Amino acid sequence: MIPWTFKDYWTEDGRNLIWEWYEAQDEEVQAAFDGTLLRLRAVDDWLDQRVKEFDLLKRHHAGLGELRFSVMARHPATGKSFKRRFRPVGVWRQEERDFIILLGCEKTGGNCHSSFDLALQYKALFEQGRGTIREHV
Amino acid sequence: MNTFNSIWRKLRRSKRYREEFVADHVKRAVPYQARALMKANKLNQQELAKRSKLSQGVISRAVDPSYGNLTLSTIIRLAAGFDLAYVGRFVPFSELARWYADLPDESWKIPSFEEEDAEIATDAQPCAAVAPPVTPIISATVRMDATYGSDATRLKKSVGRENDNFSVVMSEAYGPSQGNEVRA
Repeated sequence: MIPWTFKDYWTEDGRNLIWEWYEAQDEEVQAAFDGTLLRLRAVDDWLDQRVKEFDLLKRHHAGLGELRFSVMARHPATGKSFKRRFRPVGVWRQEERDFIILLGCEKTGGNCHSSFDLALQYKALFEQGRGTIREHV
Repeated sequence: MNTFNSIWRKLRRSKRYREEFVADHVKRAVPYQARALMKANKLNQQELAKRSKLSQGVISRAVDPSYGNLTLSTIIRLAAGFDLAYVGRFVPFSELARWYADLPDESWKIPSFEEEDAEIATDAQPCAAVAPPVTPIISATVRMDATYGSDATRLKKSVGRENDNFSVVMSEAYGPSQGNEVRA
C-alpha cells in the first residue's frame, strides 16, 4: 500500500498556518494530532465508514475534509471530564493520495464553521497558484 | 525527511511530549488495529462480537479511536475473537517510532493461530511421526559398564535372551552411562 502524505499549506507571505496552530497547543494535543496523522497515513480507504478520523465536509464547505481527533480533559471548576474535539481542515486529494492541511480548529459549539470558511478561501488561493505546499513534518 | 526521523525529532522535544505520545498510542493503536483486522478478515461488528463473546456495543467502542477507555479484559477478548496473541510490553522509544515508520508496510493479514498452525505443524510434529519406521520385537536398554563390557553375548545375557538369534545394536556414540539398545 502506498502511504498517504500530509502537506502544509504556506501562504504567499510565508506563513504555515497549521504549524502556527500546532505550536500553540499543549503537548497532549500535539501528540494526539501527530498520532492521528501517523495512523491515518497507513489507512488505505479514508472513505470507509469505519474510519472515524476523517470526514468530507458537505454543503457550504464541500471540497474540504476534516481530520477528527479528541483528547480527554477535566473541567477546572467542576472536575468533570470531557472531550476536547479537534478538527484540522484541509484538502483531500484522492488521486495524489495526499491531504493538504490548511488550518487547525478546536470544536466548541459551531466555532469551526468560521475556520472552515477561512479554509475555503485558502483553498481557492491555492487553486489559483497562490501560496505553496510542502511536506508536513 | 523520513518518517522515523520526523517522529524522533518530536520525541526529543520534551519528556511530556513523549508521555503524551505513548498515551495516545496506547489508547488509539488497539482500535486502529482492530478496525484494520476486521477489514482484512471481512468481519463486521456483530461477527466479531460473537467471536469475542462481547456485545456489539463494546465492539463499537473498541474500534472507535476517540473512545480511549478500553479495558484489558476487552483487549483480551478481542485477541480471542481474532485468535491472535496480544503483547503489551515496555519498549524503547525507537521501537515505537519504527513501528509507526513501518506502518504502511504492515499487511494486516496477521495469521490467526489456525492459519499459523497449518504452516508450523509440519515442522513441529513429534519425532516419531517423521522418523523412519522401525519394528522392534524386543527392545531393551542395558548399561554398558564393567560388568557387561562391550561383548554382544554378554549384552544378550543381560536381558535373558542369550540363546535367541537377534542382533545387538551398539552405539559408539553413547558413553558408558548412556546404554546400548538390544533389538531383534
